[in-house]
Amino acid sequence: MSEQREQRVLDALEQNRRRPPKFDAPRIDMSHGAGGKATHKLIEGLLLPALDNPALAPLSDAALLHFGEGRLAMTTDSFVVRPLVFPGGSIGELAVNGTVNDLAVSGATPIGLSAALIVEEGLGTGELAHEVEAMAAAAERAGVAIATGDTKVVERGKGDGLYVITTGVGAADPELVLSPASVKPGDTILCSGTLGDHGAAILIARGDLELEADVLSDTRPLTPLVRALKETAGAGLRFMRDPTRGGVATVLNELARDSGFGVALWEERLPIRAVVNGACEILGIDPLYVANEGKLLAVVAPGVADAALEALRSVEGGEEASIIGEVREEPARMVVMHTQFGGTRMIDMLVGDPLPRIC
Amino acid sequence: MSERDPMLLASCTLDHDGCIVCSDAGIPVWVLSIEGDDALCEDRAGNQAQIAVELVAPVQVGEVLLTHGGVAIGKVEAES
Amino acid sequence: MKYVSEFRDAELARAVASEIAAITDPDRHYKLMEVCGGHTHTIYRHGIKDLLPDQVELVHGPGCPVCVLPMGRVDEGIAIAEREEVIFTCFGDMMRVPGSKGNLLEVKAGGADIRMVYSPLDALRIARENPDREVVFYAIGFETTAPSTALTLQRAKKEGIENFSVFCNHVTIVPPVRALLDSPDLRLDAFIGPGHVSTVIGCRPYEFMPKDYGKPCVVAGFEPLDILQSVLMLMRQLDEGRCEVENQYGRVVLWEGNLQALKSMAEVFELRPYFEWRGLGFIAQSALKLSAAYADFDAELRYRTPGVRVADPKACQCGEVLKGVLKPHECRVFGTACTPDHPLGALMVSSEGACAAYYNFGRKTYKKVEIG
Repeated sequence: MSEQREQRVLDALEQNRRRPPKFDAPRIDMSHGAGGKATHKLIEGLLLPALDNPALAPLSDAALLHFGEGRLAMTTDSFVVRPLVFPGGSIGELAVNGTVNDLAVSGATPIGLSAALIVEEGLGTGELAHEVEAMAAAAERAGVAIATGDTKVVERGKGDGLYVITTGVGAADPELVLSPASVKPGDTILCSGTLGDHGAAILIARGDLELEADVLSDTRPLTPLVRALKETAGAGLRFMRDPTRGGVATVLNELARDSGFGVALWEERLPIRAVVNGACEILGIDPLYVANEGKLLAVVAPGVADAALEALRSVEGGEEASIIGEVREEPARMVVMHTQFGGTRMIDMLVGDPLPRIC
Repeated sequence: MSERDPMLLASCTLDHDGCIVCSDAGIPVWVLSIEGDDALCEDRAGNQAQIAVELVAPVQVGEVLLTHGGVAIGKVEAES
Repeated sequence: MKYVSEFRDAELARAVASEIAAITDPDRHYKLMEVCGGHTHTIYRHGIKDLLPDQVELVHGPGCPVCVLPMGRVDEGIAIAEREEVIFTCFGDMMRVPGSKGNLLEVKAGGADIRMVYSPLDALRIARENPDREVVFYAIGFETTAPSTALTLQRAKKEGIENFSVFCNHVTIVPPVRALLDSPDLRLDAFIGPGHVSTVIGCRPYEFMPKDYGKPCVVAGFEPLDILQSVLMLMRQLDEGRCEVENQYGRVVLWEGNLQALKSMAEVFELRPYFEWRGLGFIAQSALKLSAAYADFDAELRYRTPGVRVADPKACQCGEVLKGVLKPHECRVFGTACTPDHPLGALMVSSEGACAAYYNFGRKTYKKVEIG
C-alpha cells in the first residue's frame, strides 16, 4: 500500500527528469559555468534548443562532421583561468592541451588549431610573450600546428589579463565508434592517473585561502595515451573522456545517464595524491569533482582491460593509471561507489559552484 | 606517516556540497611555529595555513589542534 | 586513495558491525538520530548504512545551520549585500540558500560585491584592506563556528576596525533537539551527539536527554569508525537498559568543553529570546546575537534590518520528516512544489538533506544498493 504510493511518487520524479529541462534563471550566475547541474540546464534548456542539429546533439567533447569519405572532428574551448601562471603550467599551455585533448579522447588525430587571444589593456608584453611561447611549445609537443588566430584588446578591468580561445580540427578514426551507446555491462573503466591535481593546484595558487602546498597542475597532451590505448584495445575501446570541469563524477554520471547503465567505482582504486586529498578536505570539496587537465577516463571491453592498463602505464603521464570501476546493469543511470570502509555511496553530479575559473 | 599517526586524526571530510558549517568540519593540524595569537600549522597532507590560536592558548610547537574556519577550537590528544 | 587510516579500515569496521548485529533484537526497529550534518555527511560518504542491520535506521537530524535558516534572514542578508558601500562576505554554502526572491549567487550575478570566505578572519582582513568600504560578514553555524566569529569580533574591537560588522545568525544545538523531544509523535530511540559542537560546549548540555526524556546520547567523532562505534555504544545502552550520555570522541572532546571559547562567546554574544527555524518554526533561546558590548559591530543595528518574517510555505512538512513521522515522499509538496532546484524546506536545500537525497536516489537512500 505505502510501497505503491512510494512507487507512484518515484515514477512521477522519473518522468519529470526525462523531460527536457527548462532554463528559468533570470540571469547567468557562476554556477552556470561550473560544469555541473546548472551548466547542463543552461546547455540543454537554452543553447541546444536554439542550435539543435545532429552534429551538436550528442554533446560530446568534439563534434563529428561528415567530410568526403571520412569524418572531421571539431571542438572549441575558451580559457579564463586565474592566475594566468600556476604551478605546473599556464593559460597558454592549458589552452592548447585542452583542445588537443578534446580531439584525442574523441578518437581523432589533431590536424590544426586556431587560437584567439583576448588581451586586457595593461598586460605586460613579457607575460603575453610567455603565454604565446607556452602555446607554441605545447603545440609542438602535441604535434599540431596553430594555423590561424585572432587578437583583440579590451579596456582595463574588462578581462583578467588574458583569455584564450582555441578551436581544433582533427581526422576522426574510421575504425572507432566511441560513444555511450557502445558501452556494455561488464566493461571496465580505466583512469590514466591521479585525480584532482589541476583544480587543487589552481585553488592553492590563487592564494586567497592562506594555504600552501606542493601541488602541480597535470596539464599535458593526451595524444600519446590515446595512441597507446587504441593500439592495444582496438575495437575494444568503447568510450573516452577527459574529466576536466566537473571532474570524474560528472563524466561518469553523463556516461551512466547516456548509456542507461550503472557505473560502479571502487574508492580504494582511485588514484588520488595525499596532498590533493588533504587540500580538498580543507577546502570542503571532493576530488571526484575537481578538474583534471591531463587525464583520461576510458571504457574498454573486459577482455582487453589488463592490456590497456599496461599500455597506459608504459606511456609518460600514465604511470599511475588504474582500473577504477565497471559498467553494470544496475543501478541503472546512476553512479555508485564501493567505499573503502565497506559501504556504498551514490555519486551525484556536481551541484553549485565550488571551483570557479579554473580552466 | 608513523610520527603523524592517523590515530590522532579527528578529521571530518567534506564533500562537493558539504560545507564548512553544515558539516561541522574540524581539521586536525600540527603547530609548526607560533607568532603571537596566530600559529603556522600543517595538516597531514602537508598543506599549511595560518590559524588563530587564542581559544586554545597556550599552544606549543608540535601540538595537534582541531581547527574550524581558520580558528583552533580544541586540542587533539595523542592516544598512546 | 592512498591515505588509509585506522578510522577508515574496512576490517575494523566489519568487526564493529558484527558486534552491533550480535546485540540487535531482530524483532525491534531502532531509530537513531544523528543530530549533526557532519555525521550525515560521513554516513553518506562512507556508506555506513550498508554496514548496519536492517533493523537499525539512522535518521538525519536538523544539524545543518544553513538549511534551517528561514527565508526572512536570507532576504535581509541580500538587502545588505545589495547596498552600494558594502562588501558582503559569507561561507560558500550560503550562496545557494534560497530567500523569498532568489539567492546570493543571483544577487552577485546582478552586480553586488559578494565574496566567499573560508574564515571570518578573512572577512576582517578584507575590511582592513578596504578601509573605504563597509565589510559585512554573514555569520552562520552552531557552536562550532560561533567561537571563530567571537574571536574575529574580539580582534576587530582590539584593532579598532570600524568598517566591519557581523550579521549574526548563529544557532545553538540543544533547543531544537529539545523541541524534537517535546513532540508527542517523536519516534526516536537514541541520539548520536555532535562531535565538534561538543569540543566547544562539552558533554554536560546533553544530560537532559537521558534525564528528562529517557533517550541515550553518545557524542561521536567524524571518522566512519567513530560513527559505527557510537552506534555500538548506543545499541549496548539500549540492550543493557542503560540510559546516559557517553563520550566516544574523548580524543578531542573534554567533558566540560573549551572554557576559553565559551568565555569568548559569552563576551561577544547573548541569547535571542527566540529564533525561527525553517521547517521547525520558532524555538525559544535557540540563537545568538551580538551582546551590548559589541553592538557597534552588529549589522542588524547598523543597517536597521526590519526583521521581516517570510512565512514558510504552509504545505512544507520538514518538521514531520525530521521527527521520523513522515518519509520524504509522504510530504505533501515533495517533488512537486519542493525540489532541489526550488527547495521550500530545509531538508531539500542541501544535497545531503533527507529530502534532496531521496529525490536524487530514491529507495537507495535507505535500502542497500544492489549492484549487478
